[in-house]
Amino acid sequence: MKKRRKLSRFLCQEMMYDYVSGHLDSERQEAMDEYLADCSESRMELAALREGLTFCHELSKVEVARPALEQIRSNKTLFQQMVETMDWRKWPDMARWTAEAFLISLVLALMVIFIPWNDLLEWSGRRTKELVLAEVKDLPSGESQQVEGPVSGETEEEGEKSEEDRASASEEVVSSEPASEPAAEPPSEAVASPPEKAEASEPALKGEIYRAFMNLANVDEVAGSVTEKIVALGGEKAGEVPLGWMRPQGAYYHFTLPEANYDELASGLRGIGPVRIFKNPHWRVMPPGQIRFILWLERVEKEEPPPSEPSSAATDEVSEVLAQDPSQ
Amino acid sequence: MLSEAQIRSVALFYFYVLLDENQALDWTLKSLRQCLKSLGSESESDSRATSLIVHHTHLGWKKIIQNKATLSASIVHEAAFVIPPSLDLGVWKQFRKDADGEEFLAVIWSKILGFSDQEIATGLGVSLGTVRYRVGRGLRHLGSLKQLR
Repeated sequence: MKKRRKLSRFLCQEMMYDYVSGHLDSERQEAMDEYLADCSESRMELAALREGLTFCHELSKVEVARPALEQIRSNKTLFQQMVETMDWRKWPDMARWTAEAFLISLVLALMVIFIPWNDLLEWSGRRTKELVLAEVKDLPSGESQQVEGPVSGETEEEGEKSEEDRASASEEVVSSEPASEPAAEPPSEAVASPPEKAEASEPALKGEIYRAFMNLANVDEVAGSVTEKIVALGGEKAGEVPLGWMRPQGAYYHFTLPEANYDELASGLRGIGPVRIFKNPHWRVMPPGQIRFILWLERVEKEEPPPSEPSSAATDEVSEVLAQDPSQ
Repeated sequence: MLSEAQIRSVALFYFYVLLDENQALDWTLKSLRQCLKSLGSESESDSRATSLIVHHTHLGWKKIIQNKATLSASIVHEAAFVIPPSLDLGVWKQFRKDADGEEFLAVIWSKILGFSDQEIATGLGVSLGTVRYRVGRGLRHLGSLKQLR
């Protein structure tokens, strides 16, 4: 027969709660009974434990008042209350579908308004080709009036300089005048704009300018006589350079002339060689009885046969582009 | 969802811990929110819910004891909690003051609220033996205080 192990006070204390609650097996239960019979201190501890159990039983009789319990049950956070109130699943079908449709419309509208579609399309390379016709910058009306008014001061100087620069740069003959002169800069800046668009912002071409071109082998010889002829007819230099400004490619004349002497000048030039005279519209309005004239004597090689002597009709071809009205 | 008995248990737990009606109700609401959050929408068993109550009330207790002023300023009101006239809360106050925290809580959960040792052990993440040990020691301490009265 197995000898039963005698309990110590420590073991008795450790097993006392299980002893009271009936969790010990019968062998341990008997051992505890035997030990408690001999140990008064352990019996006092057992009594205290049972006293504690009794007191806990009394404490468990404390009740939560019904109002307090209801308060606890009904107490919800503000968020919970909002969620319950807004719970769309409790809405009528009609209201729910209406709300959904409105929400979708709102989202689409916000997407259309706030998403930079142009940038996205450009980024994705699917943007249609777009040509900027004109970018117009308004200027004060005073500047516009100054351009359209009589020629004077700095504006004229700049215009002349532009003409002279062009003459010195190349022999390129430009028959359309307005875009070449800085002073003729319109009050609006036109970029890659079609003519109709540009004209809309440019000053009206109310004046005229005569341009004459001659191809001569003996420019150096005749330049002086041409200058004398112009001066004799009342011509005065209009730009910064002197009359008969010699350039490697030829001689340049920019002058004003009494209108009455135009025929005489033309015939004089015709006597030197074939001449082509163009009359172009120009923004600059000359005083009555005065005309502005640009003459270019182009130096050509001597070996080359001179240009065919133009017939009187061809020689006197005056392409009077009487485009006083730009719309014509 | 928690049953009415479980809600009552949480309220009583904080009543015995704080001995203050208003604070007990406040902490009850906090712990119940945590419990409901842990439970989610799934319907858990009562045992699982009780373990969650143990877990969250234990966390609440830890927060409370960090603020010792809360315990020292406790005042008992009898509007929200119905206390039997014969019950002497002086012993309990002394026990709350003297006892080890874990033993104090174990007595509340096990012998006042009636949670099983297994539910307590699961909620605290300790062994069953640890829970019984704490309860036994707590009861002996409480009983000795009662005897002294």
